[in-house]
Amino acid sequence: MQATAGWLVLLGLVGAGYLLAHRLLPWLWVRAGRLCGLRMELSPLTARRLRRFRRIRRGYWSFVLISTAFTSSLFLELVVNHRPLYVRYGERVQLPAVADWLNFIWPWAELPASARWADFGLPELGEGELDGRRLAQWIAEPAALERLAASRLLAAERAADEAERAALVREAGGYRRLAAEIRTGLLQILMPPYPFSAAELLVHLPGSPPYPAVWKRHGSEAGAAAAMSVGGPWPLLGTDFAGRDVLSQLLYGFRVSFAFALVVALVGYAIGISAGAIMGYFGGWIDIAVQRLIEIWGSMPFLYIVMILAAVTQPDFLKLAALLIVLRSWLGITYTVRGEFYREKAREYVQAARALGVPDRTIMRKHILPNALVPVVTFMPFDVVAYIGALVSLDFLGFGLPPEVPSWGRLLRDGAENIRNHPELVVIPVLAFALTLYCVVMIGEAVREAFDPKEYARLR
Amino acid sequence: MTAYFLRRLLLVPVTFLAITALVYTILRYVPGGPIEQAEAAMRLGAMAGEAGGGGGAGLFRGETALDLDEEGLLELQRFYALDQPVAIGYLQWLGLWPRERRTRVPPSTRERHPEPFQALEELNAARVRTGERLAALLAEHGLVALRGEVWRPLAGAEELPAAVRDRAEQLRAAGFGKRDELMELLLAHGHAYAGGSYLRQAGAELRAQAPELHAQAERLLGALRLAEEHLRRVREQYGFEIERDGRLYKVERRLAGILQLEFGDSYTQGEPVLGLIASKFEISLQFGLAGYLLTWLVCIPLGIFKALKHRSLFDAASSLLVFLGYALPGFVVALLLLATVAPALGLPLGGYKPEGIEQMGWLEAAWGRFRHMVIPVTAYVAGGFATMTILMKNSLMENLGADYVRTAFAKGLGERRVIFIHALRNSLIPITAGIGHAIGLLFAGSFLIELTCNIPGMGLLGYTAIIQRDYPIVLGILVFGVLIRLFGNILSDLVWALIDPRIRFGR
Repeated sequence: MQATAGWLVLLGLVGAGYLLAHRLLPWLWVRAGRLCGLRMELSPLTARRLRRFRRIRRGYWSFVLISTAFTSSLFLELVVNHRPLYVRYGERVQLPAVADWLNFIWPWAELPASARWADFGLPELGEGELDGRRLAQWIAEPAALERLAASRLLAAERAADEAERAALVREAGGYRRLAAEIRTGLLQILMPPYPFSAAELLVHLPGSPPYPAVWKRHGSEAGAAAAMSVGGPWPLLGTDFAGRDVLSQLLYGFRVSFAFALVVALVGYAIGISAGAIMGYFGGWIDIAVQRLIEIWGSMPFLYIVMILAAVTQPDFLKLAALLIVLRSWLGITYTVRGEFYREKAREYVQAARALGVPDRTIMRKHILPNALVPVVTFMPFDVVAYIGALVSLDFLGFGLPPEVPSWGRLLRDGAENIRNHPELVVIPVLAFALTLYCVVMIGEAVREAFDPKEYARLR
Repeated sequence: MTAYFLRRLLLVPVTFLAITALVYTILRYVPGGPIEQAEAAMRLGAMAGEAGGGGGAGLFRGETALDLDEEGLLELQRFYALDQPVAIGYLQWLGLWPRERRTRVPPSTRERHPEPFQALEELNAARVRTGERLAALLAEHGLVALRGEVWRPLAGAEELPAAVRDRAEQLRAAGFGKRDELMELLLAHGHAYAGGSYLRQAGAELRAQAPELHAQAERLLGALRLAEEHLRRVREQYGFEIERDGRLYKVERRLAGILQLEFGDSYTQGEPVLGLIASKFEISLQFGLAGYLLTWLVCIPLGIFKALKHRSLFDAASSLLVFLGYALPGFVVALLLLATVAPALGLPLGGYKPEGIEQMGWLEAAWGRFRHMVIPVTAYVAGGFATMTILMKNSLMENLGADYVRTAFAKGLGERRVIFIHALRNSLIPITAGIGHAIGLLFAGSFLIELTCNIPGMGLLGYTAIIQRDYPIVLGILVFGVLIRLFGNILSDLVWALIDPRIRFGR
């Protein structure tokens, strides 16, 4: 029942992600454009390019995969979380995972995301956060609770201290009461399909971290002991040295890296296109001045600057993105767009528009820009790869995102420190990393081929 | 075209100055600089119960107090060449503004020519003696002397005037880096800070309450001022200086910057920067060159083969590898190899030469070096080979479609001759032109790969220099890096123009 519901949630989310990315968003885009008074119809050329893109299978399916994965990952809190989706105790209902997700969507809401034992039948455990995995297990098998109560009573008999004994007896009473309440159906819980989080430290599992992956745990001593004493979920790919689950770090890391690269690429392109357009269209001393600026700016040792600034303040997502945008991401595209504008502005249609008295801004935006966008589109996927690589390098060096944000680079860093004993902690992230970036490169290759086809004449 | 390249060459100094000025300014303004690092080291040293500690240069002369006095701070700033405003500091670093270079006069010189130094030492003895007497005199009354005046220590920040109290506390907490600012603020309000406590001017109070003591203190202060004045004059006239502890220095004012090829000494290692860079360059070059050559050896045949077998199974399969190589940064490849291949083949996990290489025979040594090079060099190759292979393939395919190839086939030349003699030569042009860019890579080394494979090369040197705020090294590497990149770009274009007569720059 638990598992089925969980998998349904997962399937639903991936489906929702696909629909959102490939149906709803394009539709909204067209609608919004029409509201603004644009025609929002593809030119025949663009339509042909898109058809060509769809025909390149590797690239197209990579695109579907990556875009669906990224949109679905926006709902990650609902699928991969150690907090329950839904927990009920009599009248009291709480949705901690949903609150988590809303906090991610709208960070200023700051909803209370954790449920407390005290509110859900076990005031004896104090103010601690409710452990959804254990509660789900107990609800599935109330007898386990009674065994726990018995062991506590046994411990109480051996306890030396009066106060300690009283506490243990009280705890045992709590477990007994909870078992009875579960049997009456007072408690209900629904956990996410993968009940682990990137930030949670799994230290109460038997043995010591790093815990092995699920298929290896029977081989290892700690794993075997764990399998005997703990039923229920086990971190699928194991944990790192701090006891953080590897799989959820990979998933959350995917979301962060991708969002980062997209933000950097889009904003950088916006700046670069504007700068390039102005340089190419007006030419003259503006062109020369900005060229020198770019030359100087581009020769600045980027990683030096990031490291220096990282040493001053704790960098976060926005600071790093802003830095990368300002220092790097607008430079490359500027040159390309400048060249395109240079070429296009000499064409007859621009001269005609000028002769008609169309203002410069309109010529640049409406007449030249659509013709200058092809290189922009074809470069974008490769730049996304580069920015993900940059973020991973920075995190690997320890100058990247703050430590509480899950990231691929830090996973690699942790793995690299213990590469001799636990090579899997390097291999697993690298594989995930390679797969993702490979898909993006495939997209880029397909886009390039579709938008800018080179028909090679072959003689033999 | 000569004019075009001349113009490019003339722009090099401009760009160079702009970049170095920018980085120099950033380095100067970033908090956590060497002064703060020295402070942290001192605090650490004090916590460990050592006297002074840190800094590495014996700067603190066994001071156990955690606060530097004004002179100590100045000395620290001078040691790190941070005692001038940014603009002058930059010009000094560049070698366009004279700077003071202090060199220790060795005791042997002093022994051989005692006369000129004797006067100096007597003056110093007088200064120290007078200072001690003054301090003893004032200490009886709970006073201190500072900057030629008499001060009374305050019990705490509460006794400061309300106007400056909060700001002063902030600046004090900010550490040595803000001492100048703190002093300035307090002096403007008749207060000062020294030896870990705030001071209040006590001259007038002393004169009113104990005129005799005041007169005595004034006399000693006068003597002290006179001694300092003499010392200053000696320093200006003869260029010699003496420290309180009797160490003699020769002070020269001259141009000493990168234009004079004086890159200064590393803060942390105390060695000349040029020598350090040269020794690391050797190591980086080994790996970079091997990687670059191997990239050529792999990419050219692979690119040719892919072009000839365009859209075949081999093309698709090798594309998979090429795109994977493009997607993964070099250091990730290195990590993957270290995790999987190294234990399987028994390759070393780091370092650039086997231990005890000096005792090995040349064959064994070469084999050891080779084993250390396998993984880093593969990572270097992985970083660059995707672009080069694709470039080779596309360039060859473009040429195969060109008219002259059609003509060559038409006049009955064999396929091999057409492809390898006619088409290949032309398609190598864009790749050859990349040589200038590659020089930069050879120089800098990839510090991520050097870090993961633990190779003590240029990249790692620069990285640790940044972390430790070793500015002379950071700037030294920047100078070479920028110059090589700027000239490399020009070289690339020049090579291109030389081997391809169709290219005309500057038209």
